[in-house]
This record gives sequence, C-alpha cells and structure tokens, in this order.
Amino acid sequence: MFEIIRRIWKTGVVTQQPLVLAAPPRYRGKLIIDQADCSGCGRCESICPTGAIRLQPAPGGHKTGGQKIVVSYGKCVFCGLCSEVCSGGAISQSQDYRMATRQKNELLQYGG
Amino acid sequence: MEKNRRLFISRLKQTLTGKYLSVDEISEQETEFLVWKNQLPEVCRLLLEQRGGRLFTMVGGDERSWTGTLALYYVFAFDKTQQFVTVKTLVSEEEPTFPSLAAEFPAFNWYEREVKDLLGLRPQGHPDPRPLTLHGDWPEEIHPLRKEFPADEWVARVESREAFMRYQGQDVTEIPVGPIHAGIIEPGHFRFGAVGDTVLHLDARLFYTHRGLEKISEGQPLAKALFIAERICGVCALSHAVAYAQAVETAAATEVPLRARYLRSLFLEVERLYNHIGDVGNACAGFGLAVGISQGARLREQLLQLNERVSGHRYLRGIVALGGMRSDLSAAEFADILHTLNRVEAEFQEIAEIILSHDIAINRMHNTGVLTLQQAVDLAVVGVAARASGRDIDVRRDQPYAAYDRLKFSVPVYPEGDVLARIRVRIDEVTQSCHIVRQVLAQIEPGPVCCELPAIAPHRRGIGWVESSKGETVHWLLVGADEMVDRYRVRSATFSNWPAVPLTVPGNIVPDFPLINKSFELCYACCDR
Repeated sequence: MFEIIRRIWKTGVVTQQPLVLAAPPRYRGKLIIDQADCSGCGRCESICPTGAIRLQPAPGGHKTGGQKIVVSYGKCVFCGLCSEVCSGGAISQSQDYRMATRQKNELLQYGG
Repeated sequence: MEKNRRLFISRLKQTLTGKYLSVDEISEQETEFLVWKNQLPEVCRLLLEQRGGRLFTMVGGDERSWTGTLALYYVFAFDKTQQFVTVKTLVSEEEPTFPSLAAEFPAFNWYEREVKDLLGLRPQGHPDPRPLTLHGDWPEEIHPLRKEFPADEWVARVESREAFMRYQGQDVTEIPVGPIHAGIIEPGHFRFGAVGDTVLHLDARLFYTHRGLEKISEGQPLAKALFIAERICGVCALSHAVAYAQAVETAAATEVPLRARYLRSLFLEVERLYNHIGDVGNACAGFGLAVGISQGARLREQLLQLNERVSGHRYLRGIVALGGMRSDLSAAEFADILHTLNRVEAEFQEIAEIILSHDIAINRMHNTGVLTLQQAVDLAVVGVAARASGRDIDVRRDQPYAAYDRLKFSVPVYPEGDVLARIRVRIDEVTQSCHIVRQVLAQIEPGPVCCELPAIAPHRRGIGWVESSKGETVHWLLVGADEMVDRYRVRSATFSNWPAVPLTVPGNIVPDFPLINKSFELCYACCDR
C-alpha cells in the first residue's frame, strides 16, 4: 500500500502495472531515428502525409549535408511511410505507444 | 462480358436517341452521356424507370479552369449488366441553375441541396429550400467548393436561416435533443413533435462538424489524399481507403494483383464483423439488455485486438496502398485470424440466441421504426437498412470488386423493415462474413500484393465502391494535372440512409427513437466529410 502511494507520488502513475505490457510486433509506434545513417535524401519529408517530419539545418552534420531529422508527434499519424521509404535505414518504427507528455515541445523528437 | 456491354450501350443509345450530345467511354464499366441541362429530367427518368438503373451518386464540380463551366454528374448503376452510366451536364457560371428531380425522385433531395450549398448551383423546382451541408448562419453567396474559395478561409457568420417544422395548436410538445448528447456520440440535432408519448414528426439536423475533407484533398497528390480518405470515418476507415484506392486504380486503368484483392476482401469482412457484432450488442442499449451490450463490446474488442495484431492498427488504418496492399500476411497470421474468428463466431451465436429469444427484446424491436420497401426504393436507401426492408442490393454481389467475384456468399434480405429485421440482417451477415473469410484463407495463393500505377493523365476519372458495414460507399475521383486530386466526392452509405431515418419514427413512442436510431447505426462523420 505504502509502496503504491509512494509510486503515485513519485511518478504520477496510478496503476501499478500497465494493462498491456507490449504492443504486437506490427504495431506502428514511436520512431527510432539514427541520424548517423541519414543520407539527407529528404524522401521521408516528401512522403509524410501530415508534414510531421522534416529536415532541419544542424551544424556539424556533414554526412547529411548539415541536416537533422525532426519529427512532431503532434502531427504524426503513425502511418510508417517514412520508415518504409528511408534509403539509409535511419528511420525505423518501434512498438512504443506511451508517448504522453506534459509539455507541447516534448512532442518533438530530434534525430540522435 | 464485352459483348453484353456493347449490347447494353447500343440499347441505351436507342432509348436516348436525340437526347444526348455525345457518348464517351470513361472506363471498362462506365459510359458517359453528355446532355443539355433541360433534357436532364427526361434522360434521368428514362434511365431510372425504363432501363432499371438506380442512383449511385451525384457529383457537382467546378471545371471553369479547363472547360469554362461548372458540371454535374449523375451516376446510375445497372446491376444486371454491372455497368455504370454517367449523365453529365454543363452549367454555366452566368446561369447557375439546373432542373430539380427531387420532387419526382426523392433520392435526389440531399444531393441537389448539397450542390446548391457547396457550388452555388440552384436546383429549380426543389421542394425544400433549406440549407443542408452548410448551416443557416453561413452566408448564402459563399460556396466553398468553388475553386476560388481558399480552403483555410474564415467566414463571418450571419443571422441563421434555419427552419424547423412549425406546429399549431396546444397538443403538440416540441422536444429538442442535441446536438450535444449525454453519451459519447457525434453531434446531431433532433426535434420531435410529440403528442403525448407518440411522435408526430421528427426533424433531424446534421452536418454540425463538416470538415471540408473533399475541399482540402483538392490539389493533394493522389497518395496523400488516401490518408484523408482513411480519416473520413473511424469505423469504416478501411472501406473508405479501399473505395478511394479503387477509384484511383480505375483512373489508372490498372488491375491490382490477385493476392491483394483477396487481402482487401479479407480485411473488409473483418471490418464488417467488428462493426456488426458491436452494433448488435449496442442495439441492446435501446431496451436495456445489459448482457447483450457487454458481450457485444467484449467480442468486438477481441476483433479489434486481432486487427492490431495482423495489421498494426485497431481500426485497420494504413494497410491499403494505391495499387494493392502495403504488406502481406504470414501463415501464422492467417491461422490467428481463423482461430480468433472461430471463437468469436461461436460466442456471438450464443449471444444472438439470447437476444432473439428474449421476449422483451423482441417486443421492443418488432414493428418498431418500420421503413417500407417503397420508401427504401424512393430514397435509394442502401446497406443493412435496404436489405431489412426487402431492397435486395449488395455491391459485393451486384458490382463485384476486390475478390468478391471469386467468393460465394448469400445476401440476407428481410421484408419487414423494422428494427428486428435490421438486427437479423446483421446477425445473418456475421455468419456470411465468417464464411467469406474462411474461403479467402482457403483460396488465397502466394504472389505480389502491390503493383506500380502508371502515370494518370489529367482529367481522367474513376469511381470506387465498397459495401461497408453501413452499406455501399462510393468515391468519385477526377484527377487533375500532375496526378493531383481535382475533385473528390464521397457518397457514404450514411449520406444515402440518413434521410430515411426521420420517416420511420412517426407513430412510435419517443423512448423508441434511440433504438430505431441504433438499428440504422449511421455515423455522422461519414456525412461530415
């Protein structure tokens, strides 16, 4: 009991364990972006139906022509097209579905 | 097939001799007759009454940029020959009127009012001058589907012109319900005129959350518009996606690979199953049979989880591609589908038996909300509601798409037209859908699931149609320059069926309305596209 209250206090999460532990393998969740493999071709940006993904100028990224992938989960509809067309395998899709945030700017994911 | 088609078209030409300007072959299944607008009523009358056609969809378009005029397309389906006939007429900007057919054929009512709202083409002689898609507070002279209207324009509202039935005397009580409801449902305003408990008249006002999806898809690349199509409605997402993809594939004159066609049929049936099972359960909320509601929801959830396992999405979004399917299924996934379906079907039969053997349930459903066959035909009602009123139409059988020409199934039809008949149609269709899925699993052979589409020339057209769980859904597409959407018209089953609902309510008691409404199970989003 004390343990549960401590957890709620600490994490803000009421249930002790999530009901569904893992989403099925085909589930299209949060993207995994490996900036090192990005060739900067821009296919992901042009195929995205909602304009959620874009290439942003970033200093030092010589391999990608000085660009970095940025995804906005405020716009993403998790169609998975970006990972399908990615030429260098820089974008892949995980089964992570727990993406709630408290701040709007935390919905942005930068290629790392 | 080809011979029958030529015969059909030559007979049609004979019937319409002297009444058309030109004939054009749009696709293998569609022939277009260009007519003067004053001959429109006569041509439509001949097609509907003499040639046995039925209204499939009607589309208005702003084609001033390339033909100098606006245009109207009336599409009629001829189920016996599996052909479509489009009657096209040009309407000039200077005289934006056309003869109305709504007084003679009520099925045209909503189409004509929508064209008037969105394109400013006025149907002359239409018995109902009220706005439909746009509400009364929208300025009358602004028409959002005209090309010069920007999709993101903010329009200042004016004093409302909305009007409802006016009752005289002291005995009629007006009961306004909605558009904001107590449950989690979409917005619709219902105004009952009741004498005691009995409803005298019902006005239904819809289109509260119209999103202008047809407008925003204009100028989009064809592949991106697929995502808009998929988001028209939550529970028939796949039906809309497949209908749109078929429209594009028709415009490209491409046949998708056989395996993809089978997979489309498979998933479309799974979509029907989770809807029908959920809807039968939900109908029990109309008479408080809690066990039905809970069990229906439980089985529906099992199917939604199956969807997520085999497609990655509970509502089957993101699996259709233009030219086929985005991914294939493995043998293990086929086995999962079969296993889950067998279990769900057996359990659903048990629940259906509980509902149909419950005296109070039968008492509430029997003779409630009757839609007569005449009404169903006059309003061109489709889907479950049509089949429960004896109108024997199902595009899976009548105009086969996907792999339905290779699958055997029967189409349940009941003549009664009441709530019970609509529930029975759904229960029977669950059995048929399971039967179809098993056939797909037995027949499907390895092969590619997607093909490349060739370039589509500007001003090519295509129609796509799907029998969704609500009924036939028709997507009409005109491709513009650079493979962009020029005009996209979605005629959902709901658009055809909503006008019928208010007809079934008078004579019933007010507490039966939720039950009647649930038995039609129409979504608002499909209208608010």
